[in-house]
Amino acid sequence: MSRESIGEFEQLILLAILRLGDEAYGVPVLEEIRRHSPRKVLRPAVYVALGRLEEKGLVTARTVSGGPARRGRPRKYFEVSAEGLTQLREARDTLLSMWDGLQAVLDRG
Amino acid sequence: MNRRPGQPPRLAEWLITRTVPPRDRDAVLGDLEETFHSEALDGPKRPRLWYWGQALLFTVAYSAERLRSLAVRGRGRRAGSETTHLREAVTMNGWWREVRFALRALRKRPGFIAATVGTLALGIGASTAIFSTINGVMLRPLPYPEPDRLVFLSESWKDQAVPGGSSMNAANFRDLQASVRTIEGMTPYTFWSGNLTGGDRPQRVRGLVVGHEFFSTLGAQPRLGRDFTAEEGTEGGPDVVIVSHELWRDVFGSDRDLVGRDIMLNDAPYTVVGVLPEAMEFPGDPRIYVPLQWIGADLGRGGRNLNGIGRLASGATVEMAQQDMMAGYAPLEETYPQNENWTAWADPLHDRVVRPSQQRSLRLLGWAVGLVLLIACLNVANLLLVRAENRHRELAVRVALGAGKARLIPHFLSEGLLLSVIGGVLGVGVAYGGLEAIKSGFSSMLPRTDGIALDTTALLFALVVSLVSGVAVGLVPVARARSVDLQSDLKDGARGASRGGSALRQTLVVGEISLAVVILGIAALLGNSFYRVARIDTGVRDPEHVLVAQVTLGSDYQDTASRARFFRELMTQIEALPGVTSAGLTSRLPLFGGNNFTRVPVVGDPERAAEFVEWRMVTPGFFGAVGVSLEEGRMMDASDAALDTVRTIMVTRELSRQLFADESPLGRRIDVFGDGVGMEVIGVVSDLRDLGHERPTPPGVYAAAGNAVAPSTGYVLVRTATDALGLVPRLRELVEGLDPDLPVFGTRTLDDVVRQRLGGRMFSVSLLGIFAVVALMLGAIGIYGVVSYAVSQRTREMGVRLALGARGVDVVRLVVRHGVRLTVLGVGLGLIGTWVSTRWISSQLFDVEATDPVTYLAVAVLLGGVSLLASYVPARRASRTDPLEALRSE
Repeated sequence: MSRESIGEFEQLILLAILRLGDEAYGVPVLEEIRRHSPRKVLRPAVYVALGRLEEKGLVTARTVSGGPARRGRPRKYFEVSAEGLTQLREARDTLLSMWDGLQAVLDRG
Repeated sequence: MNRRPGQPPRLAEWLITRTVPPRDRDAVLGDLEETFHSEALDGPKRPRLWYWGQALLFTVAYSAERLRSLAVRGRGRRAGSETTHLREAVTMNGWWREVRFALRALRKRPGFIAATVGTLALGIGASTAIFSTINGVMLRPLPYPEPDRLVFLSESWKDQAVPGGSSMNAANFRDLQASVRTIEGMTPYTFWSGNLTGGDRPQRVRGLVVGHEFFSTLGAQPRLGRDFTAEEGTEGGPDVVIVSHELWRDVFGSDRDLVGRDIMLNDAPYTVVGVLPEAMEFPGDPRIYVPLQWIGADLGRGGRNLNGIGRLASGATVEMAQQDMMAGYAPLEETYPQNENWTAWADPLHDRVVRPSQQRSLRLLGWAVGLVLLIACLNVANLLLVRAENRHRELAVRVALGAGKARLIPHFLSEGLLLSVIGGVLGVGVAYGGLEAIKSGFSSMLPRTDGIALDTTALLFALVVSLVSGVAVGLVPVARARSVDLQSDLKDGARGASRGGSALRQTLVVGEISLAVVILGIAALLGNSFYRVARIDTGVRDPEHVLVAQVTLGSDYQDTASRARFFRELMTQIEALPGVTSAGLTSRLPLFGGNNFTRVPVVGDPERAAEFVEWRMVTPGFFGAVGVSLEEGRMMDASDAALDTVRTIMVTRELSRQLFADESPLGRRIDVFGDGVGMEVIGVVSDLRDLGHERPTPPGVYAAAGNAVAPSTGYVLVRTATDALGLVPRLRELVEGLDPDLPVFGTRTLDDVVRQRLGGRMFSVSLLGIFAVVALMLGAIGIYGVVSYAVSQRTREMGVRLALGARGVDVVRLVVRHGVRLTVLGVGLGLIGTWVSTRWISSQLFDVEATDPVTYLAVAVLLGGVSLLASYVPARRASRTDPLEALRSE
């Protein structure tokens, strides 16, 4: 079966989760992406994409009950699944091989 | 709407719960709340607004996501199973397709979108703005527990058309406290204001003297410190004060240690015992409260200088309380001659904050804006109908191909809803602008304008109005489409509209015109009334050149002579300023009378008396400053001011007419103070409309401010040759030079004073005028649309007529006649509608009959003219039809 490859935004999210390690829930994920990406990222887009990644099995989630600042509402922490890692690796390989040998072009620009 | 400061808005949270799937819901809410708190800490941002923005973004994002996944799933299903069109129509997927279809179809017609969305935005925006105003001013309850039970207590002259409103005698009040059972916690209050000193600059502070149970009756408790004690409310009690939240914040910098400290009021120390919560509302917007300490004293029955509040006992109604007050007063009237022909009364306290006349104006505006919205909807429905007519062949084809008529419902509904929701979003912008205009332009004419806001309630209102209008305008073409007749609609193809559609459209236009006539008619009648009221001669001359300022003397000025000396000195200095033509002092503003003696007889002829005689203490410059002229006798001078008791008096023409008819009053004596000796009339001056434009001129007397009488609060009136307000800084300097502790406040021109008197009328008339213009425009667009469409449908017929030798004029006449028929019908119905609706505004008409033929004729001519023009434009176009083109196009 042909697998849909992951989009750029989804890659950003997966990478953010990896970078955050144990601290990867909605708020820091968004902050991490905003820190690195020049694009204006809207908050809901992150959550919708996280949901989609969860459906596809690229991330796994666990909920931990939250503190008083959240009035007890749980935090949902994400982790990149094995399948997620595989796809990220593929995406990276594809990109790197495509970039290979194009340094001169970039320097010219 | 209840607010939870420091927490996310509940409604926004609810919105998120509705749209985010359960899987993510709690985590999203938690994350947002977490961020909400850090946003709030980060400084100047507005976290509640931020949260609302996020809620809307989440709603849009998750709705789009849901539609996307439905579409993905739908694609899969269609491949496998047979779905009938009808079932598909009622599933989400089918709807979504129709929505997209409608969107695509609309995108091709930017002009159409602009017209419909613009019209809806105007209608929705105007109604949202007026709704917020009505909600903020009138519907919002007073911020006390069970506010409906709070009543305002007053005395009333028995012959008054509307009972209540006068001040009460303290002894009468005390007796009523003992006898009235339907009202609990009856407690007196009276207005008072003090000069607050000790800060950078002396300030005038409005306040109340209140019974010590005042706050417990209201159900309000100080947020810092405590309420008054019973001991503080008795004679000889300590000087204590409770301050409002605003004063605490603005003057004392929210100092928590204020309680227990002394502040200087009228040069005397008062100990602050409490600070009130922010949510306090009382007529006059008081800033300080001191306890009333003389209600238990031995009081006469003569003066009336306080009012009261109370709470209806459980089970009691306002009517019962009114009966009870009157019954309780009856023995007081019998026992004391001063109470003859008086009674007591109770009104809801809310009506005291927002006067019944203001409530009537607001309600009228509510109706008017509702009509404007209705006209806007009719207009849009009409435009949609025209579009549907143009596409009826396409629709017939779709039905013939098995689309099912049910499919047409989502199509038109979504078209209507799309337009109305876009219109609603723009309408919120319109409402925002409108509210800002109302708040800045009319704040002096409306109470409680601080409470007007485009809050959640208003946004919900806009949403509901948008959805309802969307469904309404969408359903009209559905009603038409349901009657699609395959046979004829496919057969007569491009040849144009069926009869049913055009009848419906014409009905809509006639409705639109008649509603426009109603608004126009009402606006014209009230505008006419306003014009007549504003033109009334108040007795004031060139008020825009007169500066008004208020100065209140503190406790250093206990004796009359010192007060008189201060004001006399001030007047002399003001008169010496360059550009000043005259300057005078008065104890009451012109047109704001109401301080009167109930009965003033002629000495030696007690049967001959004038009633409700306005009393003023003035300096001679007052007359010149206001523009009141001396008609007979002499002007008051230093010799009158030097007397130790008032022995000479000036009277108004009205008083002279009432007491002495055609005889000269000069040298006659009238008994103002009831001492039997009376005062000699030395001069007669022209009248002032002292109770406002619309009430008859009362009789009045003027005593010279001097050794005998002098006010402690004085209004300084300065007539200038140039810019009146430019004089304020000089005036402040002069007052400061005489006494640095005295504040100068209430500075404005006399013209502002006059306008304030007209305020209520000005508010409703100017807004109604705007609505009337909008209604007129929409009506004209409606006529234009229908006639223009009819012309386009009859291009071929016009071509044939012109080819057969008809002249352009004939074609114009033919087309215009069509428009005129609709107009005449609409105007006729509208005038009847106007006449019927005048019963609700009859109390607001002044000097104009509800059936005023001139007004009706003017409205008919105006609307007739506009519609004639609106149908002439397409008629002109029709007359220029090229017969060849027209025939070839078939």
